[in-house]
Amino acid sequence: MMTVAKLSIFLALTLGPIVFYHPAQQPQPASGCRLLEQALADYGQLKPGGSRAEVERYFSRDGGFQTSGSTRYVYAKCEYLHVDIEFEVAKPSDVTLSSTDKVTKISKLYAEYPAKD
Amino acid sequence: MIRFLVSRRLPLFPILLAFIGLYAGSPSTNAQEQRVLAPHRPVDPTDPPSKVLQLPATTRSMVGGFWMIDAYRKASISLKNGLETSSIAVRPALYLSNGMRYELDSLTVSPAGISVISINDSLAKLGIAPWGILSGYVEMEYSWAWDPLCVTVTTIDATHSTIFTSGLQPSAVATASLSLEAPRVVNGLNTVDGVWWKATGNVTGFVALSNASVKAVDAKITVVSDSNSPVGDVDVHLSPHGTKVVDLKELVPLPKGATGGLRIEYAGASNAVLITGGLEDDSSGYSANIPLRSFAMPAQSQPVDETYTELGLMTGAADPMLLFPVGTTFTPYSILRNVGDSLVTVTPTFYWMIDGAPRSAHLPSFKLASLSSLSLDLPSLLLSAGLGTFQGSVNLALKAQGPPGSLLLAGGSVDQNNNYVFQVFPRGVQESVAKSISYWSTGNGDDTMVTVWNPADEPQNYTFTLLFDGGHYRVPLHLEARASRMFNISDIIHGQIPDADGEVIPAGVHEGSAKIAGTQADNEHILVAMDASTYNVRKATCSYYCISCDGSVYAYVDTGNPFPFVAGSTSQFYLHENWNTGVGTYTNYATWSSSSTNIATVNATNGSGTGVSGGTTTFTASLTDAVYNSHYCGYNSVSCPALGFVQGTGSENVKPQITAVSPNWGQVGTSVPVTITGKGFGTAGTVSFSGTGITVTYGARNDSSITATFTIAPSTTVGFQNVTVTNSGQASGPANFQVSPAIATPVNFHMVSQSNLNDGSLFFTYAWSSSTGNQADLSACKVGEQVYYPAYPTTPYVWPLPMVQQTANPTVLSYPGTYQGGPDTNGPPNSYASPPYSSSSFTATQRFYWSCTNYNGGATQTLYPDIIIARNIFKDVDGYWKFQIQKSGYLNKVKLPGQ
Repeated sequence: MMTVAKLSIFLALTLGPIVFYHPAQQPQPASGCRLLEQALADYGQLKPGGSRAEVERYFSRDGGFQTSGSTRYVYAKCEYLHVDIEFEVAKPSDVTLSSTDKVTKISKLYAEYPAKD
Repeated sequence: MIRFLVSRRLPLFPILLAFIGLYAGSPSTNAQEQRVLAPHRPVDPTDPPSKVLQLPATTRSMVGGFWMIDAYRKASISLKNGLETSSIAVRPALYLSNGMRYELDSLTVSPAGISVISINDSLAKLGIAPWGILSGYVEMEYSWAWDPLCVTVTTIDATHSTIFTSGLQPSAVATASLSLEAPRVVNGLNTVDGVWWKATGNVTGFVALSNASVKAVDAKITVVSDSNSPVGDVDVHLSPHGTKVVDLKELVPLPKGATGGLRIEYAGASNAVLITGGLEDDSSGYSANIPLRSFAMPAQSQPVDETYTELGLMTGAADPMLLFPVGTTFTPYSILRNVGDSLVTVTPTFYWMIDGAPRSAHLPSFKLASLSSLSLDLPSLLLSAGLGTFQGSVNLALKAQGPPGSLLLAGGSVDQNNNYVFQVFPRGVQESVAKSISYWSTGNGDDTMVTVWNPADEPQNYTFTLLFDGGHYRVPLHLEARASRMFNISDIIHGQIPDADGEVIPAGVHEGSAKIAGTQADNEHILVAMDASTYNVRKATCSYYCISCDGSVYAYVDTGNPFPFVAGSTSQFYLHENWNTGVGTYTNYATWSSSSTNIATVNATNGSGTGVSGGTTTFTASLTDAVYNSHYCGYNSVSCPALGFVQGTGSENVKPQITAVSPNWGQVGTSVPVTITGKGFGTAGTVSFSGTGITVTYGARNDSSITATFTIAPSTTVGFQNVTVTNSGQASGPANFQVSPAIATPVNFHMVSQSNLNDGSLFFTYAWSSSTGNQADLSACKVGEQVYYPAYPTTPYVWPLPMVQQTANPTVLSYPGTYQGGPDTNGPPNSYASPPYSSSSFTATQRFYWSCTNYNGGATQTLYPDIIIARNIFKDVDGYWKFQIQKSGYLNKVKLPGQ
């Protein structure tokens, strides 16, 4: 469940460019915004039915405790951007993560400290 | 177990073959001779001060130091604290000849420090007229685990140019745990032998007897001739703590050059009587101490070879640097008495230096009958060695072949007027560690002359260190084979040349102590002979002070590393030696044994122990090393050092080892058949738990497995209990046993695999199962982790630099219980601050948990005992800064960037 903090950051990330947009000046987006634009674009490539290998083209596994059925990813270019993805695992009894696991559910992109344990 | 060392003196064997043969000239290159090598033993490392075992202090004392004062004589006590790691509080006391005890002001002597107490001033302070004719002895009390002091008493008559020195020895009463040097017993009487000689026709002598006990003692002094014919005897009655000075009137009519012996006999306690003797001629200013053999040597069935040296014997015109009056010439002397029971063969050898090169001359052997005395005609011997016109100093080595300890020696140099007497202390030559001079002085016209000789047939490097109030000064000494060096301490002080540490001796420093050691450490084994005497040209006096040798005081075997010592595993054990200086060293190069090899074995040569079964055994390690002997200060030719057997023991507990408990969980209200596997269980190992509610019914038990049924009461608390196996009083380390409720819950959480990742991470996989055996039954449950960082609940946790990372504190992650497991990556920070790097570290606590909505309101329950994750930045032995992470016994590290 997304926390209030996560939700706030999510809203800031998604609505921020709109709130601060000034049509008269047509400013260049800040570098942080450009990263978010790219993150959103890459996030948009994730589709249910895709494989874990495809997810890992754009996102890296977060540290800490993980499971094959539900795995947290961080954006490869910014570890504070997370997405949680559920998989249909290729081998249910296997505790390792398989590149052929199928994506079943994708969370919103959200900001959070990375897990390092 | 702590064990005081027993000073079991070894004969002076190491130099045994040094002097076989007869040759003159360079001491090197004689194919017939066996070379005497310098010690090349590895230097044992030093224990950190915090790890040096501290023994409980006991009240102890040293006694002796005959003193006498009158209108001319002044007496003083010189103390040297042999401890380099601690000061020591001392309570001095004087016993007057009538047995009265007077306590003097207490004092504290700094580490390796010295202190001098004037007996005249102390008595005056007590209201006792110091110009009266008084005599007695000294007692020094202190609280320590051994006798770390070196104490000498000097009685000087500057008017008549006489001086006598006497050392203190451990009190028999206070040192019951030590094997004291005791006189030999002849015909049921404690027997001390001495030697006298008449340097002039007017020389007379005295023997001072002090009774250190609380009972009266009757003693007898017998004077004998050089052939042991009786000359006279005196009976002496000593009251408790009383002192009597007996004039040796028998010597008066004897001519110049006569020699002979003394025998002092007394009944009762072996160390009750303290004996000092002196020879003097007030008309010329001649004085010398009478050597006494006041201890018994171990019996030897075969003759042994021992070598003694008399260093720095002066011959010919006095060295101008010594500032004696013009025209002063010295003649060396050497007096020998065989105090043993059998014939002794003596072989003299001269060693001297010419133009910086060592020279030597072996002289013909001669025989000395039991209890006979002889004055060596050194001028004639020097002439025969080609040194008839030699002006300088020579070293005389005397090899004695016969029963150990037979030779009693007196040596020195005396001027043509018998006024300046340089008495030297004959010393045994033997491998040692550091040696100390207890006192030197350059004040009030004094100077201290030091002679160092390398008895080996190869060069040796030493460090001679002058210790004084507020500092030290190191002098490197390189001595070629058989070479000697003689120097005055005043020259070193006046030189004002910075030593290797940049230290100089302040000009105001006039007294201190000194030490000679190897260049690597004080406990480095060396072969060296050293003597020192403090002379005063104006007073025409020359005194010796104590030269002591460092040595082991006690030794023990440690508890091994890794600790605890477990069955089926090896631990490395060390023998630790604690030295008289307070320093500790350790080694595994000893001879090792185990008292119970069914409990543990130990490698006989390197101290590697292997646990066999639960229980306790004793490891014993022994080696030959320098053993501390606090009798060094007495004028007895105690070999310094006393090489002896250093032996330490350690009571070693071997713990059984559990490798698995299967299954490692059980539901409340059930009985679970369990197999515990491991090592060292014996045949009757017992299982116990850290909590209550579980009872054990045993099945088969052997050394490597226990089968049992665990009956878990319904009221048993859900969670983890520690399981231990105890055998012969030794409990294993804990294993986990999970108590689960009577519903489907996650159990048997365990690590499946571990690996190290290239980025420095530790990578684990964990798995769990359902208590029902069906994972789908865990649909109401979650499994997760909580990771707590320092300063929780402050969040985020900012990792210490140079680690650049922030993490939620705690980090909480959870997953459906129906999953079966997954990976856990414990990683390095995302980045690092720029170099230069510095050390930093922190630990986190990882807690795996479960919760089920149908149990206890979904509250979190422990799934596995807490795990510590430690991270640190450090400079590795290869010189690179690295990130390191440790968890569950695994470790990974990675080099930081930019290096």
